[in-house]
Parts: sequence; C-alpha cells; structure tokens
Amino acid sequence: MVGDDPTAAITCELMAEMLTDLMEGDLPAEIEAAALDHLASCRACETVLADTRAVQKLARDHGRIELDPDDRDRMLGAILAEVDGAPGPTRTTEAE
Amino acid sequence: MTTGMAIRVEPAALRLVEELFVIHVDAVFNVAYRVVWSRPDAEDVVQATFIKAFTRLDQLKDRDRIRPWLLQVAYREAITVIRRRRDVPVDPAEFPERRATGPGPDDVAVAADVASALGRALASLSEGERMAVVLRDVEQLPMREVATVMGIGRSAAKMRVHRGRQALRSRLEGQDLW
Ligand SMILES: [Zn+2]
Repeated sequence: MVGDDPTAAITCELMAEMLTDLMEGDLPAEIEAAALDHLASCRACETVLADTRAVQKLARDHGRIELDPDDRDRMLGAILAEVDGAPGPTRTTEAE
Repeated sequence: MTTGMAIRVEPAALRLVEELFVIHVDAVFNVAYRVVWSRPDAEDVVQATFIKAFTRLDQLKDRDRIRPWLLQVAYREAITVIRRRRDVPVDPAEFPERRATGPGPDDVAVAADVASALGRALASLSEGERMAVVLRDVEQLPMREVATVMGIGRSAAKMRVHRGRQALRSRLEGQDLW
C-alpha cells in the first residue's frame, strides 16, 4: 500500500477485489485491518460481503443434489460387480 | 476411458472400495452432476471413478489424499462425458435439482425452489467457475484441495471461486433467497 494511511487506500473497487482473500483469511494483517475498517464505514461494501456470505450459505445448504438409498445401492452394486468380476459369467471388458 | 478388468479380488479390497464409496459418493456424484447435468450420466461417472479407484488402491493409502484424488478423477471423467456428447444441448431450465416430490410440506417445496434457482444460476457460470464454487462452497473443500481437484494453482482456484460467487450473487440477488 502506498501512502501514510493504509485505510485511505482501500477503495470500494479494491475492496471488491479483496473480498475472497478476506473471506479466506489470506490478507496480510494490516491490510485486513484496513479492509475491516472500510467495511465498518461503507454500507455498500458491507452489503456485498453479506450477500456473498449468503450465496456461500445458499450453496452449502441447497447446492447438493440428494441421492436416494436406491441410487446408492444401484451404483455400489454395479461397482462391486465390476471390480469383483464375479456375477456375470462372461464379462467382457474393454482392453486397455 | 476404460473402466477395468476382471481380476480376482481380495475381500479386504472390496470392503475398502465399499467404504470409500459410502464416505465419498455424494461429493463424487455432485461434482459429476454439475458437469454433466444428468443423473444417469453422473451415475456412470461415479461408477467409473470408484472402479478406477479400485485399480489404484495402493496409491490411496494416504487418507488425506483420497478425496481430492476421487474428485479429480470424477471431474476429468465428467468432462470427457460432455465432450463426447458435445452435440446434445442441455437446457438448464430442465434441471431436476431435487427429485420431483409429490404433495408435501410447504418448506420442502420452498427448498426445492431455492435449489432450482441456485441450480440455474450455477448452470449460467463458466465451467471452471462453477466447479470451483461447487467444490469450495457446496462440498466445503479447503481452497488448496479445490486447486488440486481442478489441476490448477491455489490462486487460480481462488480467483474462480471469487468470480463464481460474485456471478451467483448478481444473478440471485433480489430473489428473496436471503
Ligand atoms: Zn466500499
């Protein structure tokens, strides 16, 4: 950061760029502190961060496609049959 | 990719494959699904992935490396599947995010709507951004593991997560989803 006040160097544009670094805890301590200062005083950036966290939570809570027990059984059965080479008497496999 | 050959198998090896399946099938299926957007194709990818794992059991001794290994295999296999069927367009509006449910509690229907909205938004992302978000935010992998699965550096993975999340945010904001 250039200038004597690191906080002053944090623009909303820079804040947007640093958002994921901030969320990952990847910012150097003094930059992180400046970023948090900016967030505390900038409603727009604070909203972007809150919405981004909401997206994260949405993905975590609703992003997974569920598998039924039947789906699991079918897949596992097929896998074990294949690796065991057992049930099918004439299993033709593709040569590598 | 060929899936394997008939071999005489030790029961312990079968048990290990089964154990890995139980632990990792959801993540493997979801990675595959978000690339191929079809349950049958995603199931094929799951099968191919665990069959391949079986042929590499000796390399999977290190428990910490199993998940990224499996997901990387699944991701690559899934990409192979869509390249093979390049000519078949997939309509994001058709994605069944959850099994169609019959009459049920309202919150089930609402959850299905939210999942559908998220699914459509995910579908609108670039392939790489979508997978980065799926791995980081849906599957909750650490960033380093996201990078490993995608075969890129951690910074590149982080950039994709960043862009993906921001694209999702602009697409989903104003829909009363949060
Ligand atoms: Zn700002």
